[in-house]
Amino acid sequence: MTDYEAFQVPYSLVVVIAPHGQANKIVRFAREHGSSGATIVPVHGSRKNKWLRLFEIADIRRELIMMAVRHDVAGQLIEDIAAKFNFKAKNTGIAFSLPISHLLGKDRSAFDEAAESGKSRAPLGSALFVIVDEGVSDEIIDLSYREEVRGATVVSALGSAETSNLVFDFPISPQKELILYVGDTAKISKLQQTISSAIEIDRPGSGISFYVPVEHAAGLEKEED
Amino acid sequence: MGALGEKFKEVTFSVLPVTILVAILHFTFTPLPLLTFWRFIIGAVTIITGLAIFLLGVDLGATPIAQYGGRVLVKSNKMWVVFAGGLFFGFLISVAEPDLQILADQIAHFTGGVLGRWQIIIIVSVGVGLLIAIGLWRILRRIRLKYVLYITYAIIFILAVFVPPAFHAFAFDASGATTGAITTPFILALAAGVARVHDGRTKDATDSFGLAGLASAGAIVAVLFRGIFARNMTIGGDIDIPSVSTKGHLLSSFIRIIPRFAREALLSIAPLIIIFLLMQVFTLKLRKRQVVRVLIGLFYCLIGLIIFLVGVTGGFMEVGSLVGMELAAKGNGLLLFCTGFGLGMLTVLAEPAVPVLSKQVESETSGNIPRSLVLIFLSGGVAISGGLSMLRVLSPGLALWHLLLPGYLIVMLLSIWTPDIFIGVAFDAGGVASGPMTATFILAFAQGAAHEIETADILLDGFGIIALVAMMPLIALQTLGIIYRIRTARNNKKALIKGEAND
Repeated sequence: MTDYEAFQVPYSLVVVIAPHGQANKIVRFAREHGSSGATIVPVHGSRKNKWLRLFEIADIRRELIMMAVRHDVAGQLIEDIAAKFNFKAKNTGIAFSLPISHLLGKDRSAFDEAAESGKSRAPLGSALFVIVDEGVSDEIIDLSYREEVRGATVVSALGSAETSNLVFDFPISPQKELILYVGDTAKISKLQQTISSAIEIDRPGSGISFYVPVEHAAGLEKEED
Repeated sequence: MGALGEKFKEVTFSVLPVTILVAILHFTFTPLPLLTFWRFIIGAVTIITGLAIFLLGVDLGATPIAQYGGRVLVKSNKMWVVFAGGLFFGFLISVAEPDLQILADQIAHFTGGVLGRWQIIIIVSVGVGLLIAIGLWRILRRIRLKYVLYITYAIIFILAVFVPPAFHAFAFDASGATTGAITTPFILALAAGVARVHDGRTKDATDSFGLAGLASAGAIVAVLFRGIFARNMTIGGDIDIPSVSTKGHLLSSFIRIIPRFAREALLSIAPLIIIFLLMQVFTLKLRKRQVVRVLIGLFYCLIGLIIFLVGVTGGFMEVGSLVGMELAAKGNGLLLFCTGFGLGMLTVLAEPAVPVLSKQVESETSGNIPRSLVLIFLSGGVAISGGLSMLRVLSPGLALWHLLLPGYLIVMLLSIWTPDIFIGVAFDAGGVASGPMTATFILAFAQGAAHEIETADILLDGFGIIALVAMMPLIALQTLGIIYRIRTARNNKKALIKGEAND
């Protein structure tokens, strides 16, 4: 077994989920504040309004940004992004960071320098990942609203556990959706239970779900309107 | 901004340009009756509303159905199922296309009933179904679109030599008629669905395009084929100029036509409902939540389409023919030509299927071919179509084939150097451009102009405009493809030189 402690690198994965069209601005801002590169993924979220959901017009396009950032600056970067892009307002975005246990492709010398500034902090909450068949996300979002958890982010994806089957001599992969939540660990754990039993997650092929600790987060608490 | 708000914003930007152009004409060259002008403004607002709702419905309902359809066919892993499925889908959506029914009525009228209405509808639908089946077959067998197109158009030109000239116009207009507001998004998504399942992760977008272009060609082949057996037919008759009612209540021109378009829209959505329910019962077995979502989407398609068609016909059509008549009456050929050019350029932006295609190009190529470039070249192409249409109205000796023959020769010539993906996009764009907006607004404009000019023949000049609108995007977008190719080659060369310098 690989020991996570031994491999702990002084980097965090900063994840920002922002309204569509803001990603490039945020990445530029992050570059000036300690990030070196970023990956942008088109995703969509949903608004909580019952009526909008009933009429199927609650979807909002969003962008998910991933950046590996030194963990001593990650917390500050998240605060800065949240302040600059006003994540306190409703329907804007969130930012959080996850600890990285293994990292390749970064300048090694930076590791030692950063390591002196201390280890990562105790987890602040959790990020829940649920991977299911395409089209199931709507049901899961309905469930999470019932559990009082907001802010689902849906990523379209491909993949399967089995080796992909051949059709007309070409391998095909089933289409999937990855749904991401961030929140208080107790709430996230309860949500995982609810979702798992609702979609019978132990049945082969129905999906998987896991959660990981979150170090820093901003934008989770929105101003009430 | 939510899904609906985003659509409204996008659609406003596509309808506004043509609205502004007409407003400028109103205040300069062709003052319209005030009632007509206000109807036009109401029409523009109606079109924006209808189009936004319709496009939302396409995203929620029509596109998923077509993609499920593509997946169901491919996963059967049997070529005969794919072929039969393509034939069935193509036939069904084409049979229900309202534009085709109108065209069939007109053809029946001009041929004195020798070619019956249902005969034409069924022949064209079989042609469309057949070419869609062939199109799906070629995606799975990895046969290049180019070769299929060469063979299809070779057949078209051989057939064209042997049919009466009026059939040229019938045939090319049939191709525009079959690619209507709902048909085109469906065919586009069907192709993308099949190509994506097939390509899995490689994300090669080349085969996602071209199916709508083949479907249009299918309609042409079918009509020409029927024309072979109609060589001694007398063709003639008069066409009704869209009636210009400058009287009545402001809203009467809209309300009067609601029942007609409600029927038409319902008819064109019906095949999708049938296809979806059949698949759901037999193979899809989606969860209830997903079924509800798709059905709500189809409902939006229906409502949006009704509002859009009512807006176009009630607000735009009469303005189109009035502007055409008044400009032609001024006897200024250059002005007429320029207006045709401008109307073509801006009207195409408001076609319902244009945002669907441009967005699909951007997403399938992961942003490599930006949306705005596709729109600019498409606009440029249809602008030339608009200008050429006016040239035909102005010059009595200019027959449709005088433009179509060299045009399609250029198309075939360009395809030698065009990258495959742009060939597919170009042929799809041809079908997309000749939608309901062109068929009412530009057609009314040209017919209005032809009405005023003594040497022009309303029948022959009116027909064939859709053929020109369908042809020019093929040239324009292939040109874009060649520009892309040259630029990529130059960049690679630069990178190579740079690489060598580093060594």
